[in-house]
Amino acid sequence: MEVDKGKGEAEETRKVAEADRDTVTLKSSDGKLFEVSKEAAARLSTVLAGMIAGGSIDDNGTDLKQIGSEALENVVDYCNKHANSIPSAALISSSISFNTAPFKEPEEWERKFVDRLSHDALFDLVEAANFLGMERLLDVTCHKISEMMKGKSPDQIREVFNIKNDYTKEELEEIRQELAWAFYDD
Amino acid sequence: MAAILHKFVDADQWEAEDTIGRLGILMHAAFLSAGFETYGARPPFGHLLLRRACEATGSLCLWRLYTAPQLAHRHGADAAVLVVCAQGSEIALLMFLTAGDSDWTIGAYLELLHTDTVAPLLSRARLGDAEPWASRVCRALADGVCSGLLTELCRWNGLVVTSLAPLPDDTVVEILRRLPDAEDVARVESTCRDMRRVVAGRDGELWKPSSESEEEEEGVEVRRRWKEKFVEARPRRWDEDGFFRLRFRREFDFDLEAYFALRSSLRLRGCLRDSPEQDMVLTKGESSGDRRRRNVAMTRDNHKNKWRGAGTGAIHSPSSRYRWMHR
Repeated sequence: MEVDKGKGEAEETRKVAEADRDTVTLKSSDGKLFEVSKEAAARLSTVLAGMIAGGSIDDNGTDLKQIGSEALENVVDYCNKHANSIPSAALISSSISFNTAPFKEPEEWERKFVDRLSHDALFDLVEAANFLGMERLLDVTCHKISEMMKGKSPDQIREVFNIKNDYTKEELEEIRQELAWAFYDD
Repeated sequence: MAAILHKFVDADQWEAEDTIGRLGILMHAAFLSAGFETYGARPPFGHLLLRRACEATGSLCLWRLYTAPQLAHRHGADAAVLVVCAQGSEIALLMFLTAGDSDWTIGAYLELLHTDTVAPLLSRARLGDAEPWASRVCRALADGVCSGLLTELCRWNGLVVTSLAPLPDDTVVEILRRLPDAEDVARVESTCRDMRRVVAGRDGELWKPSSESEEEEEGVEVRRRWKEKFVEARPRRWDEDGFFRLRFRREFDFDLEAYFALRSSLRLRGCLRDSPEQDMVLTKGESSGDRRRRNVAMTRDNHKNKWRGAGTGAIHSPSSRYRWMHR
């Protein structure tokens, strides 16, 4: 009983010590460790915020088995840059989408951040942002990918996004007729 | 290991070919298995490879072009070239890319075989009798040199190896919602079945105009019509119905015969004869009559930006990699 009590106290002490730390350590699927500000992690990621609040952050590195080291490095880099950025006043998109409420435009630094990524790194980052519940990062990466699609023909989109055309000739003909209005300049 | 040859070749095609033809079939299946698509000139009905025989010398040349699926619609796209050349008891396998900033011969894969080496496996009349070894060879080639060529082809053309497919539907929809024009969404929808499924499943999110109020939505029937309502309401261009065209895959009329006239089979054979003996190694566990280069030439010295490995330096190439395109 005393041993259990001792264990419990040790656990409590560890949790208090963790709570006092300003950073959290994240471990990628390939075992690499990354430190990120606890405040930024909690503010930008709903998943990490929940883990911090629930005390399930591991001092030796919280396992994020779904995220590779390159993507996690970009996530941490984004969190750090976000912590140092000054939010601009122009929050609402000037290029409103045809169907929905306007989205918040990426800041200049956010544009530069995603522009430097390779296509594969960008896709990994979208998946990581989605997994970690990082709404803003998801917003920025989705915006970048939509820009890569904008104004392209179906063939060009297939080319850029590695999509295999699996339609039969008959299906393609049907789509040609149904969506003829979208291909007038193709 | 599962037999993969039958996915690309039927038994009749196999049985109709001689040993060299079957070696060509094996190579063809390896390219397709690695993810390539056939490209350019098509062989005669019933054949998988194009062929050119020279009666005077008794040589036979089988060849075909392949490219990444994303590039297959392009006219004059970069491609991988497969050549199987046989004369007497010697067989040369040659694979190279028409892509890249360096001479094609530097990254080419050349393998020299003796008919005695391939005959025990490929002379078996029925495809079933050649299995599972034939599929094993095919898989090894697909995972090795063919896969390396495809990766390199994609890299040169700036193509992603990943795709939209693994992303959750919610994320794909989030991307599509950020497209500024409905035409963009329609074009994405027309790329493949999966995209069409995603777009159809999120009709309300993607097509419902922001000005429409929630109260107007009455049940599933109405929700399904947001796209139709959008199409009806959108401003029309005067020419869109009359001038609708969708670009289809065009045949790339690549005349390899003329191309090889530049570096004829004589020159290839000359290269095989002139190859310095110290560059050739005996392949472990195979006939001593089989000389081959040791490795696949798909590695690159990044700091020198040059190919490394089994380069075919003895083959003299013309100055332009794209000569056939300018004839």
